[in-house]
Amino acid sequence: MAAETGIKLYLNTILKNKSGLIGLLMIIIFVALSIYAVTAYSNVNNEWKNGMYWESYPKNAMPYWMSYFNPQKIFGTETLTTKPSLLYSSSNYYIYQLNYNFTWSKDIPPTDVIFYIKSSTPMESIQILWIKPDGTNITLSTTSQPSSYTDLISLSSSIKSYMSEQIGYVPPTVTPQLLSQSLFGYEGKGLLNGTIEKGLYKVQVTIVTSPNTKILINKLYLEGNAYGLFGTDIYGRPIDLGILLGLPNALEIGLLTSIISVIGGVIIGGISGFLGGKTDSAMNWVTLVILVLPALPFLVVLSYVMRPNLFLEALLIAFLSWPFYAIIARSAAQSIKNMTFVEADKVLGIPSYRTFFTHFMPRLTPFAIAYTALGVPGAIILVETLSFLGLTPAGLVTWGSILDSAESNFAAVNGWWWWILFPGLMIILVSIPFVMIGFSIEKAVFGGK
Amino acid sequence: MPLLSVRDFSIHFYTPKGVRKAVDRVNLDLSKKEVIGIAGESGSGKSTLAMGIMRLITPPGKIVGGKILFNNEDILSYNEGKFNKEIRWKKISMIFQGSMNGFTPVFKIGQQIEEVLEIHEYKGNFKERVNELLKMVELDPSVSDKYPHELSGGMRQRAFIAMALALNPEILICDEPTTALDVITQAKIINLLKTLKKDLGLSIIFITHDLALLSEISDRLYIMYAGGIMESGYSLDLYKNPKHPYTQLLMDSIADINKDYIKGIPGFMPDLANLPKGCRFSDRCPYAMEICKQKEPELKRIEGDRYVSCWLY
Amino acid sequence: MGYKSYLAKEIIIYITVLIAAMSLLYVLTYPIIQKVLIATVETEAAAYKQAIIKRSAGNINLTNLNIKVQLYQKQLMSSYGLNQPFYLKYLVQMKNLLTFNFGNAYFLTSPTGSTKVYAIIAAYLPYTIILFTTGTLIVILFGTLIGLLSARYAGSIWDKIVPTIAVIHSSLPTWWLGFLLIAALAYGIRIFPPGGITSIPPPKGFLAYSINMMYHMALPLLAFFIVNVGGFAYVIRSLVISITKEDFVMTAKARGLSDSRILYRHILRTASPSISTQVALAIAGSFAGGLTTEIVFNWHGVGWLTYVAILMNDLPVILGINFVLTVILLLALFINEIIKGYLDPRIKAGE
Repeated sequence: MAAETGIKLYLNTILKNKSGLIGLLMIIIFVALSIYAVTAYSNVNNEWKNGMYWESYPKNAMPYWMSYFNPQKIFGTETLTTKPSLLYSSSNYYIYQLNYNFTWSKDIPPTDVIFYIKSSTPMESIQILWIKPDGTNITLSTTSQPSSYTDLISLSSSIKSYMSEQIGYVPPTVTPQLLSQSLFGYEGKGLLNGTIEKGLYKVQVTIVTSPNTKILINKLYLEGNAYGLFGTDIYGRPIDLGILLGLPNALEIGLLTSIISVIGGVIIGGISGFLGGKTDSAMNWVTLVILVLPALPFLVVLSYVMRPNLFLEALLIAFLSWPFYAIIARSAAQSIKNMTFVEADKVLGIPSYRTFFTHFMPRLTPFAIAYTALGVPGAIILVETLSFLGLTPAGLVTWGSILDSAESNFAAVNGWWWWILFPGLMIILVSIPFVMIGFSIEKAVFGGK
Repeated sequence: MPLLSVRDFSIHFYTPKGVRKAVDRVNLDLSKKEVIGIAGESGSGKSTLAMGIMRLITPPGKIVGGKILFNNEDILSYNEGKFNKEIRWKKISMIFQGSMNGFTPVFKIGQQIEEVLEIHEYKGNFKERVNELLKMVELDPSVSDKYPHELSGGMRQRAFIAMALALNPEILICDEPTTALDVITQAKIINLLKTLKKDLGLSIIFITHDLALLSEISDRLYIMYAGGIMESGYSLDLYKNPKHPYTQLLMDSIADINKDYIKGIPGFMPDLANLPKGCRFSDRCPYAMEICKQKEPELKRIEGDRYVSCWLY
Repeated sequence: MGYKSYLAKEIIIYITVLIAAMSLLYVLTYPIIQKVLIATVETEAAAYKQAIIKRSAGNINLTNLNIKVQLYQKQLMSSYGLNQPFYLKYLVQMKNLLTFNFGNAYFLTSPTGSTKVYAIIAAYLPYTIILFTTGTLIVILFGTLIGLLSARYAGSIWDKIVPTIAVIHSSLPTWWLGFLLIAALAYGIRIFPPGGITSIPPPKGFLAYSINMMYHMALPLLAFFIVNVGGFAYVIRSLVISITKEDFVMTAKARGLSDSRILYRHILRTASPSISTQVALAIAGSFAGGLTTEIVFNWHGVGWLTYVAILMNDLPVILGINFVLTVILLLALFINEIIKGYLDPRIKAGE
């Protein structure tokens, strides 16, 4: 029938058209990535809001490739591990020792220093002997009952006393910069003046545990300021991961919304144009009511009030979007109506609903497909906008929520440009193939402009 | 001394499928106060020829050669600016098949005619001239205050003729001006043109596929086929005694109430990008000979003012 | 039917549309707002109870106390309209809206301290209008120009660039672009202020104030312009191209009119009714769509107000703003019908 050959024809037209081909390719890539994200990283998705999971990642790190521009000042995280040696064992307690050695040649110290030690039973205490290249050393001890992560929070009192003895005063809080500077700076009054010692550092960690405890994992993180393809945010979450996780959501809701609103709009508009008369006027009125509502405020109110899940949100947006397609479908239906075969059908006594299906639907279908593709970017932008305002469906990671987090954490002021740039670029990137495909279908339908 | 002489005029269209020779080395003469008709099927190139004379050809079409002598000057060699200022609409004017929609819908008729006068720096009272023109085409002067959609199709056609004559051109090209009108209005327009020719001394080139129509108005006829002239001569002669096979078939196909059959011409016009070697009519001609398929015949004078392009002569 | 009665019919249709739209909003937000109000009442009643207990320092008659609290709660409920049946409240609300009586806000107040919703809206609406009308006018100006030129040189390189740019720009969320611009031009290179309507404290004197405001408008206008100009230009371009195919354009050339005269007089004038519709939709639509832009740039206009009102569950303000925005749009559409009739004589003549 005309419809089948029609669809094959359009597919061919898309494939022959350069931009249509590129668009199709891009979408295939995105879909593949989405499947990958959903299967390989589903646990990460659940941990997104869990701060502890991201403890060992560098915070506010720039993209890793920035380090090629300035290796001395931009660098990734170095992770050290070593074999624990059991120094002392008795029926009351065991004493383990971990020895780390590393050479530091960068101009600036790590952004943070974190010890990760996992033992089979809780540890009693941890003491760290930090020996700088020039031989001076610091002894740091943790508070009792240390957790797996020993970082600046557990070490702050030790650092404070070290700083007070070196420079004479105690800062109110220990920031990661102060921690690093203390560990890497020259002793004396100039400890915090920015210069650091380069050379061989030795770190000795002594751990007291209850008997028969094993040290399962030990790591020393010298956090860098560059990580991953797109850097990390303030919690250490890699932006590239966030983008990957957001992709299936964006695609899903974009397509869902677009399909529902286009199908709904084309059917309503098509029937409206086909039937004419009172039905047409009534549907026009309904269309106008929805068109007239201020879309964004309305959506924001409804999202806030209903806290919808993904599917419901798609329905909501579709509810406000179908009028656009209804209008186009209606005028298309009206021009089809004027074609002679409709009259011919009437003369032949064919019931109107059959005319609708045999003549109208095949002609409206290419419209529908073209506008489904063209409507996806708009839907995605709307969803990400709502997400940006804090109205994300629960449990989902979306690019809008990443950007929302960026805004609340003052990414712009702090210059964490990667946090802002890349999620936004993704929104554009994901929209482009749909628009290309939509345009090439439109060309096929209308014979080009 | 002819008023207008078209020599070796060619217009080619450059399409992805090849070069379409829409007008192929056409020769044409128009004398003062003469009406010549150009007849042919759809796609024969007659409209393109008219547009070419007015230099309204747009890409992918291009005028590729020839001369157009108007009062012995080659106006084809003028640059666009000069042609627009001195010739177009001033000396040679045109009315179209779509003239009914030739007026901009948002301006009044009078405004648009006055605009033409203004652009061409007409010396004289605009309003008077507009009224004069409307009277000439037998329209009430109140028409000038109306919008195009307020007039009927026939009235709009007349108004357009008025606008075409605004600058007193010497030549009026009429490209299928009556095809979209009903028979009665058609007759009225033809009569109007005849009157104008007499009153204003107009020379007219009348283009149509309707041979019956041309019999009423034209003095001489040119028969065009696939971009070339097949036959030319005085209309009466041609009707009584068509020489070229194509002309004969055309004359035969005129519906006549006395005949009890309708005859058509079998076959289709050749693809203008792929003209057959030899005579362009050869694959449809009932008298085609071997030479017809090999060499293209020239337009030869065979008697009096009759020219035919055919190997039969 | 005559033109005047056509207009009258339009007015009636618009009013019914308005009522329907508002009803929809009301019905959809009703359940949650009810819940919120009840919760508020209960919190306030509990606080009231605590306050009395504190004041009487131990000497309380329990029954008296409970009666007092009950009374207070009842008063609160009636002031929020919680003790009336739904349809009654709905009818009252609709009637009020139509008479522009928006009532008092539940929680918000205007800068001058009034709780009247119309005062609150009136305080912030002008800023939205200033920003977005200016932006839309700039977009219309440049968009029309670009669209016309693009149509004129259809097929050339310029013509390929315009649709591409239109595509990319309309895939940009305005707020993200705004965010990026702030990071780049307000914090990266400090050319423009990062937000707000004026500096704090605002300069005195009309001229200084205006200049300061325009300085603050620069970035949001830039973001708005970049995102929207491409789409508008594309629409104009399509319009002009479709008109260019019509007969009268060819005859205009035939009778000696210059290309630019044809474009700027004949084609533009013929396209003007459709352009006018686009303009009306653009202006009226920009107010509502500017919600996120206002938030990102901390521009205290009606969009920003909507967001705040939603966060605070202040239903009268929400309804009031939606009503005002809808009315503005309908008004714009209606004025557009009148303008179209003036621009295109064919419309006045027949329907």
